[in-house]
Amino acid sequence: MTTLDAHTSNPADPNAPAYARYKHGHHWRSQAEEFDGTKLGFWLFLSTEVLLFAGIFCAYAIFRMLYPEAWAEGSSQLDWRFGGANTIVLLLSSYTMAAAIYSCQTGKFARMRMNLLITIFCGLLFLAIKFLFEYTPKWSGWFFFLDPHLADVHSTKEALGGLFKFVEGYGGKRPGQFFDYPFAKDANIPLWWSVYYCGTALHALHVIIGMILIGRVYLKSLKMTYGPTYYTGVEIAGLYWHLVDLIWIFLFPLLYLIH
Amino acid sequence: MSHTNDPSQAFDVLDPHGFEQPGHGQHHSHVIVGPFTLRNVLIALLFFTLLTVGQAQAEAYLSHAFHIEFPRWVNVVFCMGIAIIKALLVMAYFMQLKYDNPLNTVVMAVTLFAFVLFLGFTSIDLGSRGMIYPEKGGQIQRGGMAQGGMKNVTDGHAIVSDSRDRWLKEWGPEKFAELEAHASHGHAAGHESPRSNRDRSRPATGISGVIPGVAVPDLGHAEHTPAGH
Repeated sequence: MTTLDAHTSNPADPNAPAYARYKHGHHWRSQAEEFDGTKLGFWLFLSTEVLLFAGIFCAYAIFRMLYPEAWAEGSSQLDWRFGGANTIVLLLSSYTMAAAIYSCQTGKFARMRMNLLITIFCGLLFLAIKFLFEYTPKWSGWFFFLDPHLADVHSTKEALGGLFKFVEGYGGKRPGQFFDYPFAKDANIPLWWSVYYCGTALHALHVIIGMILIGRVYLKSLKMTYGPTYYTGVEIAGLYWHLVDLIWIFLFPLLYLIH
Repeated sequence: MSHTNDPSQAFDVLDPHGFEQPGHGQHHSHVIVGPFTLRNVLIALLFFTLLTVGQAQAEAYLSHAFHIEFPRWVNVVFCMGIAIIKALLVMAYFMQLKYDNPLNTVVMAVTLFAFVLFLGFTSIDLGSRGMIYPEKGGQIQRGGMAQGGMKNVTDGHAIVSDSRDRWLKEWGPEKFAELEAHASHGHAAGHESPRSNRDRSRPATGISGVIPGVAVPDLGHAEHTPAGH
């Protein structure tokens, strides 16, 4: 654990890097106050995000209490291996994001950029696992060719040069009125898929937004906008990304592990 | 802010709290969470992920291979307990709440308290439906049905019609009709002139008596019949 005394910027020196020339907003008394105020504001925003997901978690809890059989059947149709892989991917990306902030604070710019890129890559990997191995087969019956389930089932046709293989009678696990799966047992299973798709898709949207924010931080880091004396933007993007991780920490056991 | 209380310093009217004094705003330092702390937190998070997946898999295996069934709450409590520990680790170290301005923690704590309220009251409602459904069973009547409790049980009838039936049985139809006719007039029925006076504007039906030579109708107690209503 090390501490860094807040530096004073030197906006007057034209040869200093961009972060050292940063001048805090004129309505703040100091850069430290600007940093604290920005962070408090962002925590308030994060609290609204938590309440947004709280609605979905409440829906999950209510429908689980009302229709436990539907929830058990729905949960049994998710593969914990994909959810677990995505959990590890997001935890690693949270670590690299925190490491990027540390690298920025200590002036290790190459490491900071590398950590940011790894974080964005992890976000892409998360979305790829989600869409290729989970959403697409459940929704339509089309399996990605690397899917381990293809070893146990018989595919009838191929698309995109063998990239996707169709398995009859697997798809149609869609929310609400779009439900089209022929072998469901519980009458309330469409509700489970509604909660599943709403929760995970809203989370995936946050992954995409988080990747855009981190991409912006990466582009700015090329211009030396952030450094040991000014790293507010990196911390804010990091807070958003950690929230994405935080939500998944709860979505994963609720959807995949509780049966 | 101690320097403003220092009597050796002149009081600055434009800066009573000393915000513009040198040193203010730089007095606190930002904590840098070091790489070893971050790495240890990551290892802890991965370990807890392994633990929660392992628990769910072990339970499924025991149930499938040996028909050992655990109560449903074991799985839920284990999964949610580990998720809460993981969330606290992420918030404390990755999101730096442990080293931050405590106000940020307060914001998050209040939010989570609101979430607990939503979930708690919903659970109380859903969990106690079994206590009220028998009471609410049957056809719903206007004005309620006085099921159980301190009231008379109306046996599936509306409170008002049940009350009417009970008194009809108590008094018999004749007395009931007489009292009903009396009641339907209200308190003042038959006791006052239908003409308006200085206190009340009242429509006087029929012949008002203001025209000389025309008699005012007798509106005494004799008119206590439902006829004309």
